[in-house]
Amino acid sequence: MNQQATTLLEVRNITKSYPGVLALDNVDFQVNAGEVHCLAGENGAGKSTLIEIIGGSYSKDSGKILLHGKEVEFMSPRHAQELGIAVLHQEIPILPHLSVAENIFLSRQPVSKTRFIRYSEMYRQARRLLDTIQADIDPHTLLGDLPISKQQLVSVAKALSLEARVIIFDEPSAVLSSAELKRLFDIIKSLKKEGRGIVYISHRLEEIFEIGDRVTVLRNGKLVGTEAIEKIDRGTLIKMLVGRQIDESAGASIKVAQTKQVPALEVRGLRREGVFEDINLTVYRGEILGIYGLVGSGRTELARAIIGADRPDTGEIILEGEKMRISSPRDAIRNGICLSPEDRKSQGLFLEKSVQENICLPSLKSLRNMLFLSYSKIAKYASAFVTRLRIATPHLDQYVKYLSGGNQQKVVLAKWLGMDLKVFIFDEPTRGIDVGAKEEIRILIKKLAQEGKAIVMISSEIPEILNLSNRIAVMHEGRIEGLLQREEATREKLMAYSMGAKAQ
Amino acid sequence: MKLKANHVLADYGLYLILLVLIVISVILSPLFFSYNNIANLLTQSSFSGLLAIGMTFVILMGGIDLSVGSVVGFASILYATILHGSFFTFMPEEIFIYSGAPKLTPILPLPFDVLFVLLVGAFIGLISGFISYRFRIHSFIVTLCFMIFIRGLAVSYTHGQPLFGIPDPISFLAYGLVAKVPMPTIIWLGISLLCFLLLKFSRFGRGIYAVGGGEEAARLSGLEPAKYRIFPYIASASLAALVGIMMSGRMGCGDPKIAQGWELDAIAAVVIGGTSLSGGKGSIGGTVVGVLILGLIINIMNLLEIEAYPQQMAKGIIIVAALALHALFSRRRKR
Repeated sequence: MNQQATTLLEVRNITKSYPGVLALDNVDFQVNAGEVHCLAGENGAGKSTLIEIIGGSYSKDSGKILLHGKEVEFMSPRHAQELGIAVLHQEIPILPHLSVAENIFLSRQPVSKTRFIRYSEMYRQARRLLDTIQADIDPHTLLGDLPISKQQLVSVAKALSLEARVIIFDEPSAVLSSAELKRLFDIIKSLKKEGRGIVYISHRLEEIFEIGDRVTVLRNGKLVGTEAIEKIDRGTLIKMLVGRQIDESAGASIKVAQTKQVPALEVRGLRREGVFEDINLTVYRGEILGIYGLVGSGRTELARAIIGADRPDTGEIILEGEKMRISSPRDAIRNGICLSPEDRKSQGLFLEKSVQENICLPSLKSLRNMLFLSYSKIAKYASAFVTRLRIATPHLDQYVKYLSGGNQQKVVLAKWLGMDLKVFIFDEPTRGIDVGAKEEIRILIKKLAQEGKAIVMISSEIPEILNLSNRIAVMHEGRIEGLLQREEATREKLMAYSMGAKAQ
Repeated sequence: MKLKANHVLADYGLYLILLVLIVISVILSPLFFSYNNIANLLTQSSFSGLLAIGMTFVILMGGIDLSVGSVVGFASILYATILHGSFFTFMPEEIFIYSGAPKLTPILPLPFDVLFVLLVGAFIGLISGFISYRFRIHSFIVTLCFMIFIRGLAVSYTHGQPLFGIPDPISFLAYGLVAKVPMPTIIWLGISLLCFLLLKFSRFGRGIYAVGGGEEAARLSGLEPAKYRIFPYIASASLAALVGIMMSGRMGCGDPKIAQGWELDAIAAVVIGGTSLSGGKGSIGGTVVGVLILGLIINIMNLLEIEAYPQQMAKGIIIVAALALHALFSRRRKR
């Protein structure tokens, strides 16, 4: 407030429509030098469309884009980059087979007079860029060999190398652990100090309040409003986002009775070299066991090993007192264990298949008349779940890829619900889905526990873990660092354990 | 220590396989290490080697080119036809009746006739690349159609007959020796070197890797995919045309029916050479080694006088074994 803010980028009255959908309707948006402008909205609100237009990937139908006060047309991503706009995409950022340095300098590699690429110079420049953001990354590494969090830092380095004035972060937190996110925030703050304009997209309210200077909210392609962060509170923002009041503690009222301690799933001495070791866990019927840990702590790998997707080196899996030989996900499902994977889109769903097919796939055996599949049974089965879980889809034949994240997650759930399973493992069940849908998913998980199912829930969201779990296991570098009862668990303890600092 | 051994296997496993094959060949046949045999092996490898270079570009970019065999046949007959003074008209049948070299009435003087055929090849590649890019049809289908169409065109061109009478300068491309090195080998290795430099040390070459690794990611990184998507087909078809001309020189005639199935050998060589069929990963150096491995297998079986069809069986098994071994090495590295 103390200085006159200069507007770097401004879009006015942008409208974009696809067949049947008005993705953006007369939206205004500005980014000032030295500010972090958060862009928020539920899935399908138009955030992505807006940044794709700013980034030059899509063309707008009407409206104006002004850069430093002058009107411009972005013809292609390259053109936008040349004019100083960098978009850090969440989903498709990288070329895995090329080195870190090449990803940074792609098509702009330093060349000699004879147009030969000067590799040593390129690696040196990359090293320098990575150093300025204190990223401990070898520029020779293939990008695909790096964890996502480091890939994100490479994208930041790339944006710096483009000398971008406006840097757009598309939901970086969806793939970062809280420690990594803190690092990223430090970087963002220093970028901001240099007078760059930052656009930060996120679903998570805490982040918006932590990093943002202003926030713009979109809903159904329309601008709801732009507010200075210090002038609004959480409740107001939620109301702007969903257009109605939401009680964030919904679901807390469902008490999970945990009286009889009947173990459903026991894991003993599970070990996979270099990934996790010495894992001992018991999940009781009707209980939600939360697993918290940073990205790379081995949580996802543990879940995969339990359902037989990867083979552990040693260890036992005991289901209801009986030792199981689980060597494939098929075995696991037969025995009553299922996984709702972290990477919903590629591992949890068939995006190019219909809602109906996705829901019925594991249960097709019971949806037959004699030998042949009965499509009437299938449709009945699927539509029962669509109603029960309130999956918002125009019809059963809609391709799953056109559903919002929350509805996609419900389809994953529906897949398993009809199968009379005993143990449900959820890996990041609410990642990347909007506030309203998150609550619905959480309530569904609680209800499952109430019905006596054993639940393992992996999550990086501390409030979610604290709210839902009966007990919480914290993982650090492939080991279980601590096992906490809900009553004794606090945010601080979880963070400390997850970073390996075992409190006394 | 063990990890280090795995790295060596992953990085140099291919060379190791080549070395082992050479050693086996030397043991199995005393004829192997003679000048004649090595020169013969290199010459044979050169033709498929040239096709494999083009194929490397295409596969790196994430596509496949099934049309190269047909383009070789077409270029061979087109070149011979031009030498006989005819461009686009189909030949009258009389010309084939007598044997021996007919009198040549070339339309274009020497370097230009070769250039013309190369340009026609490039044009074929441009069309197939463009169709695949513009209409988003998988190159497998587009080039399959080109394979059928161009072979049909080539054979119709002279009613299936070979056309004799190829002048000496062209035979030199196929038979010549420079410092005892066969000319085809010089052409093959020379072009390999150029393409290696292009792929490794030019922005354009790195762009092909990028687009092959992920087209959308490359686009968002500021590349315009079109040229990277189309150029590999131009390279592949031009090289196929070159092979067609050289084959004419080698056989002394244009023959529309040659090189059937050569595209498969080229693909096999590229894949043995470590280039990923899903694109974005691989190298020309690997392809050269892949071609040599494939050539060696055939060569040693010829020396051992194994018959043609059992040879095919053995070839199939050895290729799969080499690939399995290679995959095993690279997987170990990942752990």
